[in-house]
Amino acid sequence: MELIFSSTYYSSYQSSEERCYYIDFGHKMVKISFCQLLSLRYKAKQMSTFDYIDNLLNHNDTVLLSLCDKEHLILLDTLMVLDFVDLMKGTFAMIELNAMLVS
Amino acid sequence: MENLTRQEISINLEVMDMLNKQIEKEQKASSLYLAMASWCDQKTLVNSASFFYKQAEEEREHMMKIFKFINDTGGSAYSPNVSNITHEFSSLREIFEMALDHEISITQSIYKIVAKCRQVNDFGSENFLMWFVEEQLEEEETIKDILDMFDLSGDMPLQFIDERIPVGK
Repeated sequence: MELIFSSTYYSSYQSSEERCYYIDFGHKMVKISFCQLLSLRYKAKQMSTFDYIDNLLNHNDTVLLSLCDKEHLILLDTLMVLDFVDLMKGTFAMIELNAMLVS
Repeated sequence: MENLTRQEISINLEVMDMLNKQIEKEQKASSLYLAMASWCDQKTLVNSASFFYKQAEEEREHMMKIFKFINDTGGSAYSPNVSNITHEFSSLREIFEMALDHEISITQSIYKIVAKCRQVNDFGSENFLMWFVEEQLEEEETIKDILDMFDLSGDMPLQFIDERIPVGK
């Protein structure tokens, strides 16, 4: 299993043997497919909008993030949400960089 | 590291994001044309209503085409959330002018995606979008012809103009 990217709290990995990805949430290692990773990327994009962060800071402190077709539920506070957004950005940037190096 | 992602998805991720935004725009256009059709229908402008019902269907077909393309190429298409559709119009001419503005903005949006495809060498998506480039030029032309007809008709009654609107495009 190869490390793709590490943020402050979380890490993402690729398993070429199993043809899947892993996300280490610290207390839990979650196995995900590429489609599910794309879905997380979409959620991270929604979580990085001004309205979302504003709502998070002023009204809610925590978010329940569901993963892998609701197989996992992760509770995130504001800092963790921002870190999760960083993880997704970093993961896909590294995936793109890897694609350029391999091709 | 093995390029696992390329084996899963055939299109560029930035292009995929832009196509997902395009899905929203096409759906919004479909909803707007439906509102226009409703306005025309309520005023018994039969041909204009038919024209916009057909346009609404076509925009939805465009949306579905892009939606299917994203999923077929291994990406992830997202169902659009459309709101703030106006149902208030002051005249039939205003409706067609608004429709032309909307078509132009969609054309520009398609051009931006094609430019992005070229920038990132996503030739598959570029090839897919060529149909839309041609289609948009036709859509613009149809509405421009109708607006020309408005100019030629001068102060003719609305019913007279409506009779000359091409039904179903």
